[in-house]
Amino acid sequence: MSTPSRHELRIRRLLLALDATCNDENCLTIAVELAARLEVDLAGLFVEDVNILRSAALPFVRQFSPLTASAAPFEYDEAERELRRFASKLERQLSAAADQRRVRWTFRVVRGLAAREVAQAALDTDLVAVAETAPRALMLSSVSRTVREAIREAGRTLLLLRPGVKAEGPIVMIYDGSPAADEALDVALKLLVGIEAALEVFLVGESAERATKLAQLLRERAAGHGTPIRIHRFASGDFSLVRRALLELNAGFLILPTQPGGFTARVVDEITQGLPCPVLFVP
Amino acid sequence: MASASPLPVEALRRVCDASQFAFSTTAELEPLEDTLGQARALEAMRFGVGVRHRSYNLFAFGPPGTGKHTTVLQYLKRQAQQEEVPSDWVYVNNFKDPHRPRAVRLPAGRGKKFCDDMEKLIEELRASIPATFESEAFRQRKQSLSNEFEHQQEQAFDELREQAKEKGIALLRTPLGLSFAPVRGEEVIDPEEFSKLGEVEQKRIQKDVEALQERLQQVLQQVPRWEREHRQRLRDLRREVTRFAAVHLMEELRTQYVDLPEVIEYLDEVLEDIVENAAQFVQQASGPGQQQETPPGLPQPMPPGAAPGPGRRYQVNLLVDRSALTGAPVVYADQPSYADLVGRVEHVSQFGALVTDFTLVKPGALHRANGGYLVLDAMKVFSQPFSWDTLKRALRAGEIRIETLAEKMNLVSTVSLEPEPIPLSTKVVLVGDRRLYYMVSAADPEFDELFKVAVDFDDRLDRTNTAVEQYARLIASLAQRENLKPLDASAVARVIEESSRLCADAHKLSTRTSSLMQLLRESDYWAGEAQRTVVTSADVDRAIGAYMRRGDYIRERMQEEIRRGTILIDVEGEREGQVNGLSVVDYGGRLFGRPNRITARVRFGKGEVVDIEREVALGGPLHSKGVLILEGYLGERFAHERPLAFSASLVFEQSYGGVDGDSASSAELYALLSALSGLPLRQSLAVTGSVNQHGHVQAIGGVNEKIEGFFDVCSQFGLTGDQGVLIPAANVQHLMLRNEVVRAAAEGRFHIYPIETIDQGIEILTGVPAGERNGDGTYPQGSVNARVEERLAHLFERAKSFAAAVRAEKLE
Repeated sequence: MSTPSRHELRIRRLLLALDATCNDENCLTIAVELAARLEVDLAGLFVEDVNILRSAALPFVRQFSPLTASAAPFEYDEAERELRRFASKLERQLSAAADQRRVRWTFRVVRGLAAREVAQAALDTDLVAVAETAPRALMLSSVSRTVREAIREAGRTLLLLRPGVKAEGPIVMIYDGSPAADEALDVALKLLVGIEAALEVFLVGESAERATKLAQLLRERAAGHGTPIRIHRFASGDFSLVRRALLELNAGFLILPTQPGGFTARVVDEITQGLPCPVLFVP
Repeated sequence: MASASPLPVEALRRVCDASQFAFSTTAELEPLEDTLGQARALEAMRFGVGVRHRSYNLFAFGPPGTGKHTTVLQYLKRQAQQEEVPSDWVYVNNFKDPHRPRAVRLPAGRGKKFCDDMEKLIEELRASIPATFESEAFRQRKQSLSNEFEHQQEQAFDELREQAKEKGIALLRTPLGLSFAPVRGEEVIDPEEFSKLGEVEQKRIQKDVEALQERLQQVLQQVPRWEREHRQRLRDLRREVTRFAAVHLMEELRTQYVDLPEVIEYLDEVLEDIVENAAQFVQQASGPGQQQETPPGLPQPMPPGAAPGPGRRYQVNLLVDRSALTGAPVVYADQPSYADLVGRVEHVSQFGALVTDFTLVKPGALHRANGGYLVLDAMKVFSQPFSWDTLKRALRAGEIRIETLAEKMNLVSTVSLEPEPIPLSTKVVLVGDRRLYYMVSAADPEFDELFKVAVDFDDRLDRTNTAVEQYARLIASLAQRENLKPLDASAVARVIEESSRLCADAHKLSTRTSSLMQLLRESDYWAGEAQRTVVTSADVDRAIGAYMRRGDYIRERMQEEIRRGTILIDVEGEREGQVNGLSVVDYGGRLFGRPNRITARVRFGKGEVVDIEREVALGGPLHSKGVLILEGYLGERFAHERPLAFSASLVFEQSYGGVDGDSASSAELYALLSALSGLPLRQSLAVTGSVNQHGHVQAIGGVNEKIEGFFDVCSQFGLTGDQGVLIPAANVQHLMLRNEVVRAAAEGRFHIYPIETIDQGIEILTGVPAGERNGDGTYPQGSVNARVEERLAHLFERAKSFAAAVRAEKLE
């Protein structure tokens, strides 16, 4: 399948970072679907977190279930068995989903520090999918934030999958005319090939004059794709409105350009907070 | 004793003179509005309808075809028009106990409006409640609560994390939960490295970890409570916004029903229920495939049925709608099964199970007739399982209670509905036949308590001049109602004559409108066949003839068998101890007469008359009674001086199907007298009539058919002018003979003799005077009675000689 894009996408491989907290099979399905649409290989990476194994080896460390608040002994052998069982399960699920969509895939298990291993693996890939599957309160920011930061700093595209996420609905992107936004547009158009749906584009905080110009630019860039574009302008730049519009549109995919100096982490959080769809950060 | 002469022609058929009518055709006549000849029944109807007490229900009974249904319904409809339209009834959800739907009464016509108003309310709520939940204000408040909740948790865990961090410990996510471990930088201290730490340090870390674990456990234990509180806050928020969305709509509705406290009370309950069950509207708003948040702890919507939807629980089931009525209802329940009487609770299949709710409660005839009149066919009520008991229960209790039959019989134990009973105020009119009325009255003590008014329909009225005029109008009404051709005066006269014939009485007219209607329809048909626009007497005659012909197969076969000599009947000559009796055969309501040969033989004996029919169990009790009466007659007349010393046997020759009735008892007596006297009887005559012990001949039924039956047999062989029938004089008033019989009589070819006593009859049959006792107690020489007495004396003497010889033989 060829895309009549002005320049070829630089994404060739999607790295799906997984660890023992990833319980949502839907995340795997979305990653597989993305890989299929972008026609890239999928590399599953399961990190056996050494921190978990080490803590399990300490005799006084106990494990607490958030469901029952009960404490249970935490032992090394059990932790190792549990990690391997988890890895096997994820591999089976990935295999089933990828085979169904005819996506070439690999699955690798490494032992190390999660953030470090993922960041390192990200260097060899173009797109990294990270599943944040824990409830927000229990999300131990150190790991996922660190991973996210590392990926962004490495200039890689990041797919963020949150608990209960679903990829059903229109693809929405925020466009500001930056190179990252153009890259994001290419990704979006690629995702829409063969699908009779419009691309919903949000212009946020742009003046009327610039919005017109951006709209013109967008249409030129999308010309030849056959994908209709619907443009929504948010003159005020109020990102809570953007979030509401995303909810009302029932967005199935959000693509955000994240060039340096672009949206702050706070803005990103404000937009993506509680959004039940995958978010693709394109540098 | 006066001897009997043949009846004059005028006595054989009471002709209706067409010239007495002042009209040419019935089209000129004013239709008859009132019921003809049912004064007693109408009086009872007036009384029964007028008495406003629930035990004064009516039972209209009488012979079939007398227009009971029509009369009752017409009367009730006229009466109902003058009465008020009763209330509408609806069933609504009972929110406190959904298995017991509530019945609500509304003024006539407002039930439908209430139903529509609630539908509109549901529509409004379908739009307004989801809109409220999708509003930014609601989302913000909900988000605020969620943030608050998350913040509460985050704060607790952040504090924990900070406390841990200060002590060089990290909170970790493990595959199955959370744990604490000492860290250096981003990494957990390796166990080997940990073991190299000093004991004091190790203990400190261990102590710190244990303290943090304890604290973690406390926080985790707090989480469910926070979640509960959060859910409760969300619930309260949803209640608040739902109430806000619904209350103004409800207020509008309340103002319309402020005069109906029951409705207002229900509307208040609806509002509270909407507030508690807002989820159903939100779920409806989200389309299929969309994941809509279900507020925790809220009940699920009711099972879908014929009209699924979120507002189903607020629908109004309009059970009885009086909006189209102009008076009290008059309902005729054609099929009064249990469910058709009291209503039923229907079910719908859902995932293989049968479910129901208040919207599936369906009304019965009692609901529809409530406040008015219910007309039921009594036989159908009694023959349908549980219908009679249910009707009685409803009338006694004054309420309609809907129960499924299966529940009533304890056949099922599944949960079903028990709709609130509805007060019953209806007048029930059962329509049936007389025998059924008396049977139920005798068998069921409750019957007289509940059906105190008997409406007795007569099947005949006196054939007076006034009645004939009214009858002509009745004919006109029926013809008009059925769109039949008008009848000319001759046709009307002919119909009137046939009406008398139908009730077998020259001085009566039949009120069986169904038979009359049949005759009119068939006459109309034959008039049409003859290309006539007006029905004439010829058409009526043809209709009667064709009707007879259609059902004449068996009669013709019998006549044929007589003609061919298979069945032995003599119509000329004389025979001793043999007479032509007459009987009536009834096949499916078609009557015809036929002669039967009756023979008697006498012999020496002890005074018994043997009824052969009885001996072989072919004689019914009335026939046996008639034969025993003969013994009484003979004893009274001939056994004053000496006992009867004969035995006689009587038989209906070639009778294989049984005999009953006493109408042949006079014929049997004639045969017996002939056998005793030795005088032969004329076979050209046939005899009918019962006899009493004094020798009086008494009236019998079916006189016309009997005469015609013998006439037909004689006609087959050729009328000789000597033939005729002896009938009881009391039956002369019933004569409405066929025209051809009348013509034959007028020409002297056939004769009808009215007989009052056996002596009159035996004189005609033997041609010998019967004889009356002289002053010396003897009968005139040569008379029938003298011959009988002589024969009996002779037999007695022989009996005496025989007895003496037997005694002498014993002494020797």
